[in-house]
Amino acid sequence: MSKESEFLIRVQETFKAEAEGHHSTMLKGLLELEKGGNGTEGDRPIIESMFREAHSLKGAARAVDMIGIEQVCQSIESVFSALKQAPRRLDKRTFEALYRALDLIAGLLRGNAPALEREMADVLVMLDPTTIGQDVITTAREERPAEAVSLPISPMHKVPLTMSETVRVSAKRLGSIFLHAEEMLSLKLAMTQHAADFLELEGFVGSLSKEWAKAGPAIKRLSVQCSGNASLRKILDFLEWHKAQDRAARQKLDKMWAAAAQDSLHAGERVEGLLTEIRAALLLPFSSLLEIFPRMVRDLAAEERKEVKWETRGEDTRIDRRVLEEIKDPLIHIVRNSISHGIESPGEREKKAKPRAGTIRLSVEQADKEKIVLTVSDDGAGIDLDRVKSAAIARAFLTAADAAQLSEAEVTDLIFLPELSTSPMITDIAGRGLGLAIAREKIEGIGGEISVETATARGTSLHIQIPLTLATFRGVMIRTGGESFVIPTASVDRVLHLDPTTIVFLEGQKCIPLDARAVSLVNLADVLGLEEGADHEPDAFRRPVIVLLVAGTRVAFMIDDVLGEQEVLVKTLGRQLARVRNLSGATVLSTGEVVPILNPSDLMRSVTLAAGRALASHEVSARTTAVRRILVAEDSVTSRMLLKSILEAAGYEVQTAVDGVEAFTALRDTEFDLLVSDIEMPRMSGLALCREVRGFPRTANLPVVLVTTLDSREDRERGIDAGANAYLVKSSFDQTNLLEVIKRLV
Amino acid sequence: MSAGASIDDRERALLHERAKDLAVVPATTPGEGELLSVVQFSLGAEVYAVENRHVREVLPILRVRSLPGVPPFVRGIINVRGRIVSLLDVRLILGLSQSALGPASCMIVLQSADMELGLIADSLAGLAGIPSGTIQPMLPTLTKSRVEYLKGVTAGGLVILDAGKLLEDKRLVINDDVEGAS
Repeated sequence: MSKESEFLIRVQETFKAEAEGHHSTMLKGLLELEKGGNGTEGDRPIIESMFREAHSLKGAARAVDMIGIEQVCQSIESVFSALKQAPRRLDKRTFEALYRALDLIAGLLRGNAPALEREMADVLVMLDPTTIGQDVITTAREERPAEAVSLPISPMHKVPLTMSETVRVSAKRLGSIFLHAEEMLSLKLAMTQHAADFLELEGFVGSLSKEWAKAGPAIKRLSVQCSGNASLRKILDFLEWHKAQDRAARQKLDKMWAAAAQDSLHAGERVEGLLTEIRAALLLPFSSLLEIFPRMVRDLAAEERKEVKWETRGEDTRIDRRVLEEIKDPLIHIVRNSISHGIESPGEREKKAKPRAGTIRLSVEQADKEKIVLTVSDDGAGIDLDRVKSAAIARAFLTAADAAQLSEAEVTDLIFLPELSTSPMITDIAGRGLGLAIAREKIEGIGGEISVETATARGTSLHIQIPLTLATFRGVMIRTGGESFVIPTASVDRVLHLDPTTIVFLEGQKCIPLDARAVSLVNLADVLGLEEGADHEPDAFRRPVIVLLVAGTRVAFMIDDVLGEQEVLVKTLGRQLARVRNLSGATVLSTGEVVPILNPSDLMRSVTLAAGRALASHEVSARTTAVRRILVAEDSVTSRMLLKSILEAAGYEVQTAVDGVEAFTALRDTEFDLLVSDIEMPRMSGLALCREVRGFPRTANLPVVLVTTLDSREDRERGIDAGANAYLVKSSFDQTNLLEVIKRLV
Repeated sequence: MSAGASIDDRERALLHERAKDLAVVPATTPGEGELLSVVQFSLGAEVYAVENRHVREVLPILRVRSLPGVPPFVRGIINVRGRIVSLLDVRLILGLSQSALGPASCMIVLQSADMELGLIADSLAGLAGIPSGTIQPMLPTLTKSRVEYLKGVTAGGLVILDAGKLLEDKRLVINDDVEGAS
């Protein structure tokens, strides 16, 4: 039943669009006719077209039961049918009648049928085909001149259907247009990828020509020496041909790359332009969100027996409807908190010589092209910073000494800590408890920021910065438990390779040192409840680790792989999946593959909950008192002495070896904390040594730093393949760099 | 002359009979009532149906992406022209064993004003009109969870899912916080 009426509405909408098309064509035809031959022989094409349009519109109107339009069209049609048979000059009155008929159609399309009944009758009489034509009308003109003149005859300005400046478009349709435009972005990303692929291929072919250049002299020598050997001659000819083909291919690829890069640049600009336009069309005034507030403030204030005035400023500022939806809950939280905990009771306020009624002000301001700043301020009691401090100390987030050194702003910021705010004590004191943590999470979730400013007894202001529109963001694509996920780049602190020897246990929790702090280390697959990928031991050497930073807390997650970084579009998981823990949505790759987007703040909370308590970074001393022993393998005596003196000056105990074999013997005999090795050495190279070290059980986890003059990507990769933890190039290598790297590894 | 004119009376009578036969609406057994137009699909050995008016579209299942941290009846999400739709295992919702996804598997997308979800169908069995009077209430022997989402069963054993109920039931909506999980 409802489906049927829905269908009818859709059909009527379609009809309207079609009718508007016919209407404007007829209007144009009529104008031309009036300017041209007034319906004489030369106007035949226009007459034909008018006839056809009227006929089509008549049929369409009948199909949707618009009888009025059908009748008017019937009359128009018969006028032109008569003209078709015998073209003749139309007089002014007939034109007027036709214009009125078109206006009438426009009116009927807008649904004014009852009001137009009279006009309808008039027009139908005027358009009687038997009365049109010169003879009859000359007299008719004399009869009704005044009326005819008084009629509005400037249809160009009269017909709102086709000439209106604004159109109503349903939000659904706009949303769908936006979706399509957004899909263009993946096309743009794909084009960028294609250009990059061309470049890579070009580089590959380029390396072939380098090899050709190297082989050139030898080929030349051979061709001189063995000119008599026919087979060899053939091979040499083939090589020459091949070389030429390679060069041609490279040139061609070069051009293709340039074209692809150019196209992707252009496509990118167009798509961005299109999206910007559509985003602008999706903006709504902020006031559409604020409608609920006056009533809510009144009710809440009454409940609390308080008097509260609600003031707004800048509510005309326009903002993306999706951002509006996201900001609604946080804003309600904040205003509610303000009423229940910020604004004092009327009696209290009078004692403080404040007006009985408190005021909550919301101001909306467009900070720049991309940002909107909301300020919610009240003239209430403000936040008691001393009590926030003591609560933080009680919860062991701070020592008393640290607390004393915090600035006011820093103390105020403490109220956003979820662990702090879940404490009932702080909730009671400041009244800005869990709500604020959630508000912050939501606001950060759409790329916004929130900060608070408070003055005891004078009130509190919250500043919320939100983006004008939701757009794409950059995400790191990773694999864990054999499946791919996206992590917002904004939450990624760094990516590193795990060195299991650095793992320490703090209160039963695995941690790794990062910048002299212990950061808890967990397996992302475990947190998500996925099966561990088969090819990974939990703490495998060089296993990728991604460190996330959310609201000041860092956690290191072991993953299978980092697949790259890219621009992604966020999509919701659909209506049935309103909220899935640890996920904030999904994105669709250019391949059509759907990849879930991880929610960093959820992940942090999952980890925290799993550990049973907050795992904020704890200060640890990164260096123990024991002296670290380093083995240096280097065949050049100068370099050897240089390295030895640098390392000894830094407090390490150093032993040296002149090549790989000697170094490996030393490693088998003695316990070392780290190996620094040259790559090019006689008897056993640094790479071979590295492989030996990894293959020998006791040294399998020994940190290895390769120091070399070889600096190419291949060499680096070879070093990493051999199992080195770090790869330093002598040309760029200075003491601080080396010491920094060693400090990180031991 | 034309062929029509050569028809004799006997033939005309025959054609008339035929036309009359064809014009008769097929007899609707037990009850009459309006025709319920449904999409039929198979799930295991049984044939199910959902009312057409709740069905937005039926799509082949090409690529399902499973999600961590959701109940088993949420089999994953599917990209439907840039929109994400979740795929639910209706067998699990009905308290039966899990559906196996095969090459003939389809997703039946159900839609209401504020909900959209996909159901797994082992294969599509076509459209049909069922006289609403022929639908019997569920057999009492079936478990409670099944009956809840079933509108009834026809004499032919066609089980009619209550798509409206599936779309309305807030318990099928995943709204899971980290805290709620542990």
